[in-house]
Amino acid sequence: MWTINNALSSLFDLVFDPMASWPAWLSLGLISAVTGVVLLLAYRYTSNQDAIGRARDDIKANMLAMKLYKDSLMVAMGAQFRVAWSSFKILLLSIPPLMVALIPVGALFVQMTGRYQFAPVPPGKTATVQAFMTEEFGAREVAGQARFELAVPEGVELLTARPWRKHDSTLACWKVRADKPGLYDLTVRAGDESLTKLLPVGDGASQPVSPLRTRYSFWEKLGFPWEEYPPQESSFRAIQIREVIETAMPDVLPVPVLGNWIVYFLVVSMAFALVFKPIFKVRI
Amino acid sequence: MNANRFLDRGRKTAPCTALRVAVVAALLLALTESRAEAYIGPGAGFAAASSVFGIALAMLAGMLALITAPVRAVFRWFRRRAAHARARVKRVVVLGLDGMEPKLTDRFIAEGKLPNLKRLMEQGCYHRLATTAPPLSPVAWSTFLTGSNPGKHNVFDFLTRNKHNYLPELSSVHVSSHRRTFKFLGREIPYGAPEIRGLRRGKPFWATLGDYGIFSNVIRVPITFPPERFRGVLLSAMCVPDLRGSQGTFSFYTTRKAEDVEHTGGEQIHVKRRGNVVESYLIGPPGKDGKPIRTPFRATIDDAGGTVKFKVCGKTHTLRKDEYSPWITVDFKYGLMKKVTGICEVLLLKTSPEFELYVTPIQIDPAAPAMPISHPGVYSTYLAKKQGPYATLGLAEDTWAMNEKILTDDGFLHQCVEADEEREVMFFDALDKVKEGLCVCVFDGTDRIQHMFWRYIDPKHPARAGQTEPSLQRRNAIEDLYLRNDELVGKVMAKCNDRHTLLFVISDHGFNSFRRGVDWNRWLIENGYMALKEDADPKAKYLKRVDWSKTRAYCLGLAGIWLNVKDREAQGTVEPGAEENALREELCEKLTGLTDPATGETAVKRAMDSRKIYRGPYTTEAPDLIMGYAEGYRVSWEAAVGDITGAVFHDNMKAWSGDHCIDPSLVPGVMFCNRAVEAERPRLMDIGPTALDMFGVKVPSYMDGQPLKVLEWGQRPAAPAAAATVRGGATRAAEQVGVSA
Repeated sequence: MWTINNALSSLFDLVFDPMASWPAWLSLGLISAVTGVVLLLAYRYTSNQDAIGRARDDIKANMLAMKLYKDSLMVAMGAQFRVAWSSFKILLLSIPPLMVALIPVGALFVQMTGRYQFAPVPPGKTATVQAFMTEEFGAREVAGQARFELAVPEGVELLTARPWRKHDSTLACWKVRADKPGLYDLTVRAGDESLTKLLPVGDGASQPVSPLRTRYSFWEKLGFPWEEYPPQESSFRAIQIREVIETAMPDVLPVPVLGNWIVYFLVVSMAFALVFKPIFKVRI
Repeated sequence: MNANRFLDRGRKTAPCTALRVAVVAALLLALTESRAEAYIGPGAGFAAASSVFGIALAMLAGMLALITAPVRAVFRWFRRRAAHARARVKRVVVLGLDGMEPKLTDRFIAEGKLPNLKRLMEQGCYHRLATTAPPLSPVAWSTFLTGSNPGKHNVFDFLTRNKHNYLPELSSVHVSSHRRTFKFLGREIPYGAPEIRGLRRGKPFWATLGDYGIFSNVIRVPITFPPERFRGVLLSAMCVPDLRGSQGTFSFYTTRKAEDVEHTGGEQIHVKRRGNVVESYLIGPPGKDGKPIRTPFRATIDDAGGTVKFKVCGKTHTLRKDEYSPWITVDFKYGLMKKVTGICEVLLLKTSPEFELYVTPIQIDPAAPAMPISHPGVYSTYLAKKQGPYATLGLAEDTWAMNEKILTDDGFLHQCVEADEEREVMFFDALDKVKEGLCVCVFDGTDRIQHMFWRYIDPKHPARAGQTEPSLQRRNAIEDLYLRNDELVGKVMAKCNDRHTLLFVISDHGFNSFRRGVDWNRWLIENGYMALKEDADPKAKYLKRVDWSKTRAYCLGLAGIWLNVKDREAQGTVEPGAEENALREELCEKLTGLTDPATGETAVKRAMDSRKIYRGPYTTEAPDLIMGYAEGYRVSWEAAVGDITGAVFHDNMKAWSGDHCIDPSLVPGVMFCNRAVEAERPRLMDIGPTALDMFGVKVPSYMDGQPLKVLEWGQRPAAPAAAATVRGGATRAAEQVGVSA
């Protein structure tokens, strides 16, 4: 899975990297517009356009029948049934293209999350490093057979010499701080094992920001593809930088609701899809 | 405690949530459409959202309909109360078969080929139905729908003349491509839509029904364009123009070189073949500069397969020889983001040695009409969404292309059958939807096929000279038509098989052979009523050669002859009053009984003074003389459009070999009804008043027609009238002359 994710990340880097210096509203706007148009075309070629067209026509015809023959209750009821039935048919017809679009759109969303959802830890701000361990390791640590340790590189100050631990030692936390922007390797040692986690520090994202290095589940692996997963047999389940999750990226636009990157993406991609719908003669 | 909270938070906000939501959304879309589009792309997002919206809207509308039904029922009852108590039926259905000929009907019934019409006759009745003078569809159907004589509805012919310049014009509608303008900063700024003005006067009987709250569904009754407002829905027919504004202009593309080729009703476009590709354009409406807007097409020829890939507006259609394409939607762009859409069918005639392609007149797209062709405007859209594209042109069947020998018999028949099939779907939809009210639908195939195939049942027709015996299929084209009509009647009867529905099957006129044409302008010249300019161009058309200062009468149109009256015509010479009346009488006398020297047959049964046969405010707009031709005769093709030939009588060599523009007594229509009707002389103009009467609505005084005495369901007349009517119908119809007087 890591290989696939790594390949995907590299692929998306090719797309995103040229826009790394752009303002978020512009790069996201471009991505959204292109996504809207591409998915529209994908919808066209993966759906049964004739059947969708017929269903749409049937809906329109029956809506008009309700207006034209409004005195007839039987016509109105029959037309309403037809509208509901044809709407349901369209719903069914949209499932195949939906399934086709699911994987690429999912991958795109993951990549966009790394770039527009999370922000690096601001320089000078304290960050919390959390190491999630297996219960077996916790038991060994409690028994004094293993120890936690965090090694920080130059430029990062370790604020807590001894980690704060959960009572069963399945979680250990450290406070760190870096005053200069950069991507720092933090190494957590647990017994005779060690695992590195990147600490992004800066004022804005120029590359994907990952708050979590994990092996917890399939979904989490899919969701955080930027750092290699800890091995399955490892005592580490995950390492997380808490502030990266808590400090979301600023809105792409200074506009309530619309400024949120998901809403922005949604609106722009739909707007472009709508504009190009008649040009590409797509029936949806 | 804190660590658990952090862990949970980390999991919940991670992007894996998005993936989970995406999968769940895909599977449970119907329930979770609100954010689904964020994860499945705009296409499926729209589809899902609109589907759920559609279902919700339908449910909402259903509830509203149920809740408001009692209120609307009370309101309807209130509007209909005046007629309700007297109504004898809940529904009147009129099936119009344009030009159904009683003599052929009698023959086929006698031969047992029309079982449904026979059953209808036995259940109710069958009569000859007196038509109008002249027995032309626009005149007759105008009389049908207004219940009045032409002097009150102002339609006397297909064409009338412009009093100022003597040019031919449509008699029932005025379509101007010019828009109104206002001046701004010294420039003329156009605004509004091009003017479309109906010239038919009088109120349709369905509008009167609407005044009493009775709903009507009217489909393709001639002379209903432009559509008028009333309580009901209506699809216009005759006189609906094509997208170019003409009454139907076909296009014929060929690689064959021909100079000065001119086709009536169409145009020939020379194309070049480059390799296996032919590129040309479809011709649309005039643009802002007055020149036609063109949409390019590309035809890629597969000689081996005999097929062509026809690409237009981004879509490719495979054409096979002698097979029509389906309706193709064509966009004509006339500005930034502005376009008008039309529909056409394409027929591949040849791929080699010459490439030949026929394109029907580009018709108004019913789904997005460029001008209103229905009432309400969305009715045409409703039908298009319900059944797909359909012919909208007034005269949808391209008789000119067949006359010009571009369409074969089969090519033309296809258009007729297809148009009737489209209409059948519309009509049955109306019958299914309208259980109380009026349903009227006119089918044109009867008229068009008889016009074009009569030569095959008339051994004496000149268009058959030199031809070998027609194939069985052609010989039977008219018989097949009547059989198809009978099947249609059977289906309609099945949908109207209740005592509350009154069903009429009618035709506006009958049919006869058109063997010889009469050039009245030549006759008028030879008899001293018309003179030509000495220096006139012999090729000049539309009466442009006429020296009006020396002309007292002229012919234009199918119906008759006009006098060149002073103060009425721009260059009139005949003094109104005594001189005018004397000239009318003189011409009537001379023309009645006129014989054809070549055959010795009487060409004109009688010439009628229009002022004596019409009554009403528009009588003065009629041709001064209405010609009642004898069987086999009609005005010549040339004289009908104001051209002047070298002889008075001409053989009609065109495929258009049958006609009905003769003396009305010779071409009555038919009237079948599912109830017995006691009527000595039923007339076309009586059908509307009868419908009003059956709904309990008082017949307006301006109507000339009278309600027929329709007996109760299952009741038989005192004497068996039906058979006698069939035998003697023609005679009785002859007595009435088909006019209002």
